[in-house]
Amino acid sequence: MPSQNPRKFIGAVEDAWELFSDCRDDYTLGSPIGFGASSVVYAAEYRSQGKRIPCALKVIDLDSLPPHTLELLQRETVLMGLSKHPNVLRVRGSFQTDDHKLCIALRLMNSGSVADVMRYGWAGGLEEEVIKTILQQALQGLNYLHVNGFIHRDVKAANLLIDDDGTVLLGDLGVAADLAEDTSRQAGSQSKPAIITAEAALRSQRSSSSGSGSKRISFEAPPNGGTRPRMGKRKSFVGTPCWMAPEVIQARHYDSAADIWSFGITALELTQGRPPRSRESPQKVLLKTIQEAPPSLDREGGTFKYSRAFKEIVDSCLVKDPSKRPTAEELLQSPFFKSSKKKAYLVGAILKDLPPLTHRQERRVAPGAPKHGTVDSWDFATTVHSPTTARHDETETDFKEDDIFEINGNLGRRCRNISWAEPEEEDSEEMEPENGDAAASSPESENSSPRTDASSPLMYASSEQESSPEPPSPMPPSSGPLPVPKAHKSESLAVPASSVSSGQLSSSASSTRSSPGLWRKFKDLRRRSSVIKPRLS
Amino acid sequence: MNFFKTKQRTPPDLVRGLRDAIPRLDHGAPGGEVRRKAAEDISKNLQQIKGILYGDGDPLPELVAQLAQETYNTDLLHHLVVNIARFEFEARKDVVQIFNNLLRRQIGARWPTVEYLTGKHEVIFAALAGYENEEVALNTGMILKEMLRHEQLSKILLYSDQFYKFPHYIETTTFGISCDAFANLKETLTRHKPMVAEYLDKNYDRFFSSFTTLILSNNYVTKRQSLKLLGEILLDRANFNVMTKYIANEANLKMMMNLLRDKSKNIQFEAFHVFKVFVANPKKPPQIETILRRNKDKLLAFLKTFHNDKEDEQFSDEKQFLIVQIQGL
Repeated sequence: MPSQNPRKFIGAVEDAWELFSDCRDDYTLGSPIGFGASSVVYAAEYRSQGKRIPCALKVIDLDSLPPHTLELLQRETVLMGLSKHPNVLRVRGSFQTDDHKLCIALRLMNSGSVADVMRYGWAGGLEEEVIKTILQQALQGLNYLHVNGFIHRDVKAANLLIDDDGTVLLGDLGVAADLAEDTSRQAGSQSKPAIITAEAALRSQRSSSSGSGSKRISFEAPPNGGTRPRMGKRKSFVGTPCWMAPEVIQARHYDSAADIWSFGITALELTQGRPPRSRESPQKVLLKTIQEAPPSLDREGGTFKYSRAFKEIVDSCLVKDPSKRPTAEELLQSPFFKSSKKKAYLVGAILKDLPPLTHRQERRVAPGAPKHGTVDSWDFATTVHSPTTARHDETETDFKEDDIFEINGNLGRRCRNISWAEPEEEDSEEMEPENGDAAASSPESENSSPRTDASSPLMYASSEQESSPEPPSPMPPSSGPLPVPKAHKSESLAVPASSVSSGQLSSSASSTRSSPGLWRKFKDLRRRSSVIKPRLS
Repeated sequence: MNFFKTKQRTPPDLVRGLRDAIPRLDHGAPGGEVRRKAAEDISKNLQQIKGILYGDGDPLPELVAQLAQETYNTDLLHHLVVNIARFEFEARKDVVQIFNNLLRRQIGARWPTVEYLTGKHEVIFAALAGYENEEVALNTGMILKEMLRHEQLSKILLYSDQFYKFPHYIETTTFGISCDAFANLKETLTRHKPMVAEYLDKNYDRFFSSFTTLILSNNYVTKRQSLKLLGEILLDRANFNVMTKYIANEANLKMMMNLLRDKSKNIQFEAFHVFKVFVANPKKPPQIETILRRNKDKLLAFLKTFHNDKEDEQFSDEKQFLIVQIQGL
C-alpha cells in the first residue's frame, strides 16, 4: 500500500493514520458503539503484522437501502476516498460480506460526536474556548473540502466527531456534493424543467405531519432545462432544517457558502446545546429561516458568557446573502480563530471525564443487538430481513429448475414484428426525469416526478439523531429507531453511524417508488399496459 | 492565491514546465531529491494552470484559449491521464479539475476539447484503464464521466473492445470504485439513447452475454444495480427492438423467475420489473408462453404474496395486472 510510505506533500497534510486493508479476516468485531436505521457501528480491531489497531467498523445492510440511498452511500464513499485531511473522516478499508453487508473501516473516534459529548455533560452549552477549539478544527476540514470543490451540506455538531486526543473530524459526507458535477441537464434533452420551490417543499412537508425541527430533508430540484451548465452551484435541497441556509431552502443555486451558514448555526448549537428553532416544526423552521432575521448569539443568557468577537463571527456567517459570508479560509485567518487553543486543550476541558463510548452505548444494546464476537461469528440475524424473504423460502411456490426448463426452444418465431406499443406518440409529455448523470441526477429526478410531489418530496431521516419532538428535553433529543433511554443517544460515534444510512433509509418508504429508474419503469409499463389491455380484450 | 501578481508565466510556459517535469519523476534515486523536485514542479504547475482556468471567478478568455491550444498541441491531456498515478494525492484532483474544465469549454456551439478528443481515442481508454489502479480510479473515473456526457466520446467507448472491460473492473474492485465503474457503465448505456439503441440492436449477443455476468454476479451491489439497469434499458422506448429480442428468450425468463426468488427483497423487486415485461407482452412467443403456463399456479400463488407490504399503488396495480394476465393463459 503506497500510503505506508509517508511523503511530505505540498498542499496535503501528512496522514498519520495509515490505511487498513480491504480483507475481512483482518478485523475483529467488538461492541456496538452506534446505531443507525440500517447500520450499526462497532468498535473493532484491525490486525496487521502483529499489530492490533483499534478502529470502528460501520456495518451497513445494503439490502435495506433504497436505491437513492445506495447512491448517496456511493457518493459518500467516493468523496471520502478523495479526501485526505486530518480533520476529515477517511475510509481506511472496506469490504462486503456474503449477506449483503458493507463494512467500512474508519478511525475509532472514541469520544463520539460533539453533539454526543454535549448531551452527555454539557447540555446547556460549552465554553467559548472549547467551542473555538472545536470549530477551528472543523473549519480546517471544511476549508479543505471547499478548496477541492466539495460542499459538505450537513454541517452540525452531530457530524463533528471527536477523538480522545481532542482531534475534531468532519464526518458524514453522505450528502456532500461535488461542485464540479454539472448540475444541469444537457442541452437538447427533452426533459421538462421542474422547479420546486421551498413552498412546495413546505406544503408537502405539512402533510407528512411529523413535528420535529431537526429531521433531515433531502430533496433535489433539477435546475432549468436548457440553461447553460452552471458550474460551481447546486440547487439540491439537502440538509437538516435547523442548519439549512436560506438559499438552500429556497432552492436557489448555492455553493460552499451554504456550509458557512450551517457552520454559524452549529456555533450557536454549541453555545446552547441545541440549534435555534429546534423545538419548532420543520416547516416553521424553514419558513422562519427565510422570513425572519437570522438568529444570533445571546452573549449573556446562557450557561456561559461569550465574547463580542465570537458574536461577530457568528453574525458574519449568518448573513442571508451568501456572497457576504466569509469563506472558511477567511474565518481561519480571523483573529478570533487564530487565537484558538491546540486540540489537546479539549482533553482536559471536556473529554477527560467522559466514559468510554462503548459504555455510553451499553443500555442501547437492548433490543437484540449482536453480542461481541469475531468476524467469524457474525450473525446479522438481528438486522431487519424482510419477512417476505422468509416466507418465500417456505412456500411451495418454488420454481424447480426442471419446471422452468422444460421447454422446447421454439425460437422459430422471432418477435421482431411485434408492435404493441406506439412509442413515439406520447413522447412529448413524457418528461424523463433527467437521464444519465448517475450520481447527481437521481435525487433530482426522483423529486421531479409529479408523483412524489404530492406525497412526500421530502425525505426524512427517520432515525436521525434528533428526530423526535421532545419539547421537555433541553436539547435535541435523540431518538433512534430503537427504543432507547434518552440519555443514551443513538448516533454517537466515530462515524456517522446513523447519518448516512439513516438519512437515507428514512426515505425508504417513499423512495422505492419514487426512485427515478423505477418510476420511469412504472410509467412505462403503465402506458404499455394500457396499450396492451384493449388489444387483449 | 493569485500567482500572477508575483510572477507571470504564460500558458505555454506552464504546459511545457509540466510536461518536462513528468519524465523527471523517474530520474535519480527513488525518494531522492530529483524526484521530489519533479513532483513539486508538477503540483505547482497544475495549480497555476488551474488558476488560469478558474481565475478568481472570472478567468481571462485569451489566456484560457492560449492554454487550451497549448494542451492540444502537446497532447497534455493524454500525458496527464496516463501519468496521474505518479502525481501527488492533491495534484491528482487538480488534474481532474483541469481536464474537466477544458472539456466543458464551449465556443459558441463548438466544444473544442471534445473535438480534439474525438481524434484521440487513447485518452478515453486511458481514463477507463484508471480502474486498474485503485489509487487513482476515482480521479480517472471523474474524468471518464465528464467525457461520457458527450455523445461522440461515449460512442467511441461503446463501440470499442475496451468497453467490455467494465464488468471486470466492476467485479474486481472495492465498493466505492466498483460503484464508480458501474455508474460510468450506466452512463454509457443510458445517456445517449438513440446511439445506444442502435449499438445494442447491432451487438445484441455480445452485449447481453457480457451484461448477464453482472446480473449473475456474486456481489450483491453489482447484481442489484445491473438488474435495475437492465430494467431501465429494456423499458426505454428507444430500445424497443432490443426489448422484444430480450423477452423472447426463454433463458432470460428463467433467469428472472429465479431472481424473483432471490433472498434479497430488493433483487426480487428489481427482477419483478423485468419479469413483468415478459408477461405483459401481448404477443408472447410460444416458448415464453409455455414456461409461464407451466408455472401458472405457482406464479399466481407466488405473486399474491409477493411484496404485499409495499404501499405502492402502482406496484400493486402492476402486480394485479400480471395476475390477470397469467390467469388468462
